[in-house]
Amino acid sequence: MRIFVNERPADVPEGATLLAVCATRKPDADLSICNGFPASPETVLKEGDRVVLIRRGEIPTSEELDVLLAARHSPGVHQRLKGSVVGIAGCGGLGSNVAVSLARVGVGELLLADFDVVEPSNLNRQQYFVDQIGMPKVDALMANLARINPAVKVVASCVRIVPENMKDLFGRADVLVEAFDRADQKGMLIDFAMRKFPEKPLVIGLGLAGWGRNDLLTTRSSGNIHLCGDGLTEAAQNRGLMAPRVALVANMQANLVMEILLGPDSEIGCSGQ
Amino acid sequence: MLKVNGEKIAFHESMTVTDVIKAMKFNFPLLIVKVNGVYVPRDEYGNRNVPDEAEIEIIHLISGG
Repeated sequence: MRIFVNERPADVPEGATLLAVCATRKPDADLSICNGFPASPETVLKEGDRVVLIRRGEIPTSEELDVLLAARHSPGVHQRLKGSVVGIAGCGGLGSNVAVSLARVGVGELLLADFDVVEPSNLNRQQYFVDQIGMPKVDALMANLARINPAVKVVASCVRIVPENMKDLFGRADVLVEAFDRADQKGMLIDFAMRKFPEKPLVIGLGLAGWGRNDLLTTRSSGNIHLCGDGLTEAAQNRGLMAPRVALVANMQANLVMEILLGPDSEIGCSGQ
Repeated sequence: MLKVNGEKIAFHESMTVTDVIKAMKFNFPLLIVKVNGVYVPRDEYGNRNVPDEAEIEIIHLISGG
């Protein structure tokens, strides 16, 4: 019968076990996955099964990584995320952190736009590295995302986002993440989105300066607009934008994007009793 | 009577979005306004009348990201 081993077709005897396939194809493997789920060596294989054999410590190919991710998230969740497109308007503190989390969970395509370059002052909260100073943020972020999850498709546009190009940049997105720094830019994006794509969910970061006060960070929704943050705290003297609180709000945004794409997780909130 | 961000305020005839913003003493330059769930663009605040019993949401935008 024909099965697939590490995404390559392989002919194996009827009734072969995972152990037998492993012994002939990759004897040093210590992790075996069948049809997206970790499986025991005694598993009897069927025609068309997709088997992935991994040796710990070995760098997997992009395809193998994708299968490992599917095994971790379950194939249904993985497929849904993989089939999704998320727009990220701005690649600073919010946008770079949102992009990293969404790439880690395997969102299929990220549309990034930002005109800026990486500066030393960005490194206190943004997902860049010292050796990327001077690079356009979208290029640096694309490179970082490729190191995290090469299976994610990234479209990077090094442009200033204006009403004239927003439809081209983000029209395809299932969800749009607002990740600007300046309030007037946030207003411009929200205004455009409400007029031109009122049906598209829009996830905004609002109020995230300073440190502490986890309890003030919440999500408020009004129709298709979702606001993450404390809604109050603007950057000021002695109260800057800093990694923990910015990343918290960015990840509230990323978490909400997941909820929009997948629906709420019915298990969260259940105590299991 | 109007409800603005959950707070009740008095309604008067031909009240516009601008009047509501004044009544609430909001002085933030950047606002997002929805009247009964419908987005009102900024350039229409002055001539968009709000109906009595309207539910109005006003979000003020602040910098940081």
